[in-house]
Amino acid sequence: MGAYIVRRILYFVPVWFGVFLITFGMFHLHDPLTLAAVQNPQASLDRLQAWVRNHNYHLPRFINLPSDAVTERADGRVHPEFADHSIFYSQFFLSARDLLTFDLGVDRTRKPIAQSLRERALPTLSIMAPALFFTVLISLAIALLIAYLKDTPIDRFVVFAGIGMLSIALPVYILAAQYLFGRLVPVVPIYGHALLAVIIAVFASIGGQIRFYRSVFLDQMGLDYVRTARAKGVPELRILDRHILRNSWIPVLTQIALSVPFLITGSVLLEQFFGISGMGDLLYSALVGQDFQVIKTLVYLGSFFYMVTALVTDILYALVDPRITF
Amino acid sequence: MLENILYNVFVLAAGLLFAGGLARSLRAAGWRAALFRTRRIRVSIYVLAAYLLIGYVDLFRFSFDDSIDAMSPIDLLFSGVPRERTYSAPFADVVLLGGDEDAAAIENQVRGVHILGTDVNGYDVAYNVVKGCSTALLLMIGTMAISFPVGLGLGILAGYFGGWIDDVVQWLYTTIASIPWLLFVLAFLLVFGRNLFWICLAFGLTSWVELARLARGETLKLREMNYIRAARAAGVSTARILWRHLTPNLSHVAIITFTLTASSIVLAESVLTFIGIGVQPGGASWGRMLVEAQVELVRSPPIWWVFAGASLLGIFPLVLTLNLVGDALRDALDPRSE
Repeated sequence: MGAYIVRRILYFVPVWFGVFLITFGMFHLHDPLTLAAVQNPQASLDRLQAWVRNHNYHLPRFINLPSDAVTERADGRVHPEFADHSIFYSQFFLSARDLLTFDLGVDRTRKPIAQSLRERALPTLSIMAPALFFTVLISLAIALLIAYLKDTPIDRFVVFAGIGMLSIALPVYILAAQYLFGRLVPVVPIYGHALLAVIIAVFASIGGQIRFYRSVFLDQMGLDYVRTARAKGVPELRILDRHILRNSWIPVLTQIALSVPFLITGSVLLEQFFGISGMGDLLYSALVGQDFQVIKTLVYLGSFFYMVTALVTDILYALVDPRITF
Repeated sequence: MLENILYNVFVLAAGLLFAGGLARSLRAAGWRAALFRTRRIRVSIYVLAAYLLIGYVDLFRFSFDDSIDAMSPIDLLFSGVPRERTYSAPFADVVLLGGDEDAAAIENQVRGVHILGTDVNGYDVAYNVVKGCSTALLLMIGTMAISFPVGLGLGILAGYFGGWIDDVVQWLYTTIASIPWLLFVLAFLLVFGRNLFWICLAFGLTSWVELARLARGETLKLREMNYIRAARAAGVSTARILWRHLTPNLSHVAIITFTLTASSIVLAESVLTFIGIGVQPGGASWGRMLVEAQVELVRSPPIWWVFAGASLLGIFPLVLTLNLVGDALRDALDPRSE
């Protein structure tokens, strides 16, 4: 087990390197002036060059060669000071160093990004943790129920409603809820409050989850050990609880881990719409303000979060299923 | 003029090629027993086909007169619908904003009854809903054009050859899967620009992962089957084994992923546009209509028809039928789901 965890953590290294390569490729392989022009379509050449310099795009891309100190860079200037630095004074190695030392840098207003993240972690968690908890709880309960009521009209209705619910786009949920609770039945506060955001997040993800858990439970129900239990006269509720639910933990855990990316998607839209200043709102304002450093940091953070979730899930497999040994 | 004809020929050829390919792979996957089994699925298939057909027809461009822009058949169909000055409710025979128009102008406005009303600029909502089909279709085609060759190709190579190729492919898709989808797409669009081409590329670069994973698993299984071994023993070249013996037997994986990815593309477009980084103002898409509806729902009285048009007639039926057909295909074609 210990050796497995170590091996599993070591696998972080190549994947993390891959994430770094992709992010670097996205943000640094472009021609700097083109990149600046994408951000400021109508800006003059001077403005573009200032943008290049402010974002450190005038540095050599991979290796700082002696010739770089005497040639004109993308910001329209010659930088003789490059000669004073080592050959690793380049966009690639400086980004890699920042990443390895967890130096998140500062955003456009010179505020440390690490500080923004600390401030915004709690509001995001206050939406996403309850949303995840209630989604899993409610959909497991409904899925068990309709697995018990298999092939009845209730089962067919819930399955169809589940597909219907997952066919509705998140913005539609948000607008409908805003209209419903803002106009027709103003019972919950809308702006700056987590309650409605949690309800929407649960509603938007519940359909797909129910459908998935139901098929997992039905797979188990068809197996011989369930038939044996039934033949022995074990009550149906006990079969559901002791036999089926326990044997379904592996796919259930996998599904929960896979729904983590949805939480990120959801948090951007929900926080921006309901005025909650969390991570999603940070991402949104970075998009509007074209703050590359913040976006980069959030890409790294999101990937790291996902990798840790996958690791924890793998370890939990062994805990919920004693047959799994590493 | 010549460009225009060449473009239409290209669209026609691409459509025929796609329909032919789809029919062929459906046949290879043995679809007949499965589809058209229940009435719900039959209705879904007809609705889905109607949406795709409308989107496809809208891709053609005809120009009869050099002075005006080339129009699609859908544009021609709606060219008789007048533009109002501002909002007009569904089936209303006058615009909401009364005022200084002279009698002739009002007469003009009464002439067109808009079945879904008009938006703030007086444009017909039904027309926008119909135009959204072709944007959705373009996004689907563009994404698939990238994710299909990449996903199937890498998955088959990894599964068939194993060894270091397998390691590299697995590393690649683990890496891509580690970056949350939305973050990748947002960063990508922020850097490269925001038109349909880049959106398709961003979707394509993230959505091949699932297909590669499935294709790899399926190829691992097929590789050991007797017919592949027999082909190998008979000296059939590797390229031919991959193309003629393996790929057709993956068509059920491809079709199921195709329908389910297509439904998530339509949803993703609306999310991205709602954040403001997807289809930009001026483009016709259901996401854009939702962005407009955001302002109009809080008006008093609320302007609900833009929202209803985009969500109930645009996104929902298309995604629902894609999901239903995808599920039916999976039940029918996937041997594991029995």
